[in-house]
Amino acid sequence: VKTFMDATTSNRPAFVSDDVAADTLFGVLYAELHRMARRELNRNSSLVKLGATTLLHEAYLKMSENEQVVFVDRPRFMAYAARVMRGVIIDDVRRQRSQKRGGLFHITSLATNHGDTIADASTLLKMGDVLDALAELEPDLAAIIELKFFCGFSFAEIAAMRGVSERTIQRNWEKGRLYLHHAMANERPMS
Amino acid sequence: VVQLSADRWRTLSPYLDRALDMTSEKRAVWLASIATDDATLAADLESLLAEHQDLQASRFLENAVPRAHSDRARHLLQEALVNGLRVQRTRRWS
Repeated sequence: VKTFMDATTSNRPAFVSDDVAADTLFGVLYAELHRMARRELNRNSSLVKLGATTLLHEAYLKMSENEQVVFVDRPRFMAYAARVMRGVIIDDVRRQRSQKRGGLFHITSLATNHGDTIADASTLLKMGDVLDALAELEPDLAAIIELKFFCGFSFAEIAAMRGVSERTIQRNWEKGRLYLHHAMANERPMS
Repeated sequence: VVQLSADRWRTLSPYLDRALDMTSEKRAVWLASIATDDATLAADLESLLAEHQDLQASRFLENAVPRAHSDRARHLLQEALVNGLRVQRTRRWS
């Protein structure tokens, strides 16, 4: 964990725009998740049944207990963690699709409990590229979509996390969603 | 369909912030006033806002990825961690 401090050569906080710090932050997150997973394995001898949001909250709490990493503010941590989740989900869908291509297996669309189909596999794969483009253009909008859509946080939870009003989060989510839909409908990210 | 560059999006973005907080009646008046100065801007905004209305109606992306998917992702993440394999990084991190 100390390496995170070491990576910040001055007194300034390490932020996302700093590639080295971002890389180190990912390393810290990775290490913390690793520790949590190992602890749960030791306890249960099977992978823990934590929800995604609980997992991320716990990882953050563990990290923030350590005064060495006070530079890692919670919104930034959550945004990175949500991006990890997004990457894992999309990679998983891609892997499943390539394994089953041409076979009998039919990729089920992502149906909700209410029976609404929210996105099929190819939409989800396209979304990954477009989200990368949005993250370049308006990182906050991309983070909100990753937190809400891929991790299941509510507007209220994201608002509390970021210290802004729920309406602001909702508006930004609507704007990010509009960008995503527009870029996907036009078959390419805006550049 | 409006083709938007990143620059165009940056121009439109603050207008969208304002528009999304307006009632549809207020929005129409506001767009009309913009159109007198910049017809292209008003037309682009109108088109995007119509797209937004469609997304609202169809509840696009409103429901999170199903729990089964995020659970599976979490398991994969944990497995990857437990096995000491690095989860593939996004371009940003590599």
